[in-house]
Amino acid sequence: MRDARAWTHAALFGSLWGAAEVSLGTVLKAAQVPLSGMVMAGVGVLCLLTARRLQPSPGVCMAAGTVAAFLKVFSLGGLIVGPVAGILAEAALVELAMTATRGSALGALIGGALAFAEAPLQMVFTVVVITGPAATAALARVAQRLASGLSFPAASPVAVVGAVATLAALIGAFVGGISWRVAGRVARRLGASP
Amino acid sequence: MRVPGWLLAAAAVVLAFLPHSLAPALALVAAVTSALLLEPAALRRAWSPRALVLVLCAAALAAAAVGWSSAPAKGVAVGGAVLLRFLVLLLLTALAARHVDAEAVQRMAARVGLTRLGIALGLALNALPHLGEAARDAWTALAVRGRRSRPRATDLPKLAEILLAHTGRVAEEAAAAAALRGHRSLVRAVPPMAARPLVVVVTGRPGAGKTAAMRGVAKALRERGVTVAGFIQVPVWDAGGKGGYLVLDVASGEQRTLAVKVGTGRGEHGTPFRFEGAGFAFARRAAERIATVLVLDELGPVELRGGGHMPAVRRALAREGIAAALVTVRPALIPSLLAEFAIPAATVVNVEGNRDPVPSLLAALAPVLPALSS
Repeated sequence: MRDARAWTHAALFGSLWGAAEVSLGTVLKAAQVPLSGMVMAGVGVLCLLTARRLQPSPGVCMAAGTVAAFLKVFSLGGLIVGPVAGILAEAALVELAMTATRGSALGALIGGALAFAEAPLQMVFTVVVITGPAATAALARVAQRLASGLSFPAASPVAVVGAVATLAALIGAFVGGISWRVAGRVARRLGASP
Repeated sequence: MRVPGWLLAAAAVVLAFLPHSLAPALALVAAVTSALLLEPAALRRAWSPRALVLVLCAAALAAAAVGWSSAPAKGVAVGGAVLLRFLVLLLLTALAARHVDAEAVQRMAARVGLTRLGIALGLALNALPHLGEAARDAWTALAVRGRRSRPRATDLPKLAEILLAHTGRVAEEAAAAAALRGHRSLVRAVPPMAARPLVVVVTGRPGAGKTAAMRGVAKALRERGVTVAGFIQVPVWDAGGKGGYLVLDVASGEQRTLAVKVGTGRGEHGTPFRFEGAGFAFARRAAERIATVLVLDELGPVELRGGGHMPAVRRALAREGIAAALVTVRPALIPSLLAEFAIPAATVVNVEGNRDPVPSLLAALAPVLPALSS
């Protein structure tokens, strides 16, 4: 990013996302609102895609994500390592999708899908990192025994995580599409043209 | 004691995840020592009763699962490690949250060679209160407009759009302010131009008559015997609004297609237009012609990101023999333009509300074209 405007857009949109994470994210989490992670992922995708649409330079999404992750450190909630890693991963995935597709609407769909699918995968990853591989394997066996007790004998933990991630990806692609449209309306409102 | 404190905090992060049975305990010792050196009150803040209950539950769950599926002793070991890791992370988070401010972040980022990211983080921290106020104002405005005591949930998409657009505007203003103050840390150094022609910036909002003013001044200059070269972007209007752009060679009067509207989300450079390479090549040839005055209409966001006409414009402006350059740019982009070319001074002519801006433009060129004064 060689243009100062790309950096200021990354800073401001990262600040907006970080503010939403610190305030709305903390409230939703504290109130135990179901699917609060998906709501916050949607906010993140909207901020990232708008920043990228207004400043189509590679790196804008990643820089905005870094800013948001930095602001999340000031969150009122206690454990922030997971959310910070989630924000960075979400930004990296949207950046990857948008850069690979040269900032097109398809990139927004793929980026949204990847960002939403990241949450369940990150949960598994966090369990592995915090508890270690031995404990993860033990937890997986416990989950399998519980599943067999609930008449889901064939459902392996990997299949369950895969199914949840796929469903999240579909929702994420939809949110990515909507966010791309909103970003377009914002660009028109600001008179962005050649 | 700050440096040893932060070094111990960094060591605690590394130790927390080392695959050794003693590592979590050592990590906790390092984190506690770090807190005692930096801010002892962080211990009470980090390990609140609620946080400790949550951590104990997580550790107990891990211990029970491992103990049930393998051996009780192993369960206790894993549960203990999880407990210690969580305590370390809580403490380090509390320390970081209290001791990090915009200036400290900028200094730290500059030390590791990430100056631009540091500035962006500082800007983000300073913008937080402003964005919060903007959100509250937009929320209230939506309620007032809907003649209700508070907005409905259906107003949320509108609120998001307003807030995002406001954020975009603030970002533009921040970039402009940085450029005006000569704050060049956010952009790579630009090599100075070999030649320095007089730069006259022609500005005004979209539709204010910038392109018409450029055509008018080019005609007036030719009538006075001054050679003029360069290009003018002519918008093409259709039923749906701006349908594209033609590029006009000022010297020859020839035109080529530069951009065609292909629809929102399908264009290039974040615009609804598809650009023609032949159009850019045509504009480049037009800018390369030998002349006293160079006309460049228009340099937009694409150019100021280094794309579009920018390589041709850079070459043309660096050429010897050009007395003046007339450059069209929107008001918000003037600081970026001046910063991009490291132009120390320029004459700005705003065509808004000016029925005949040609005399003003000729007057602006007079210092380097004495023939215009006589």
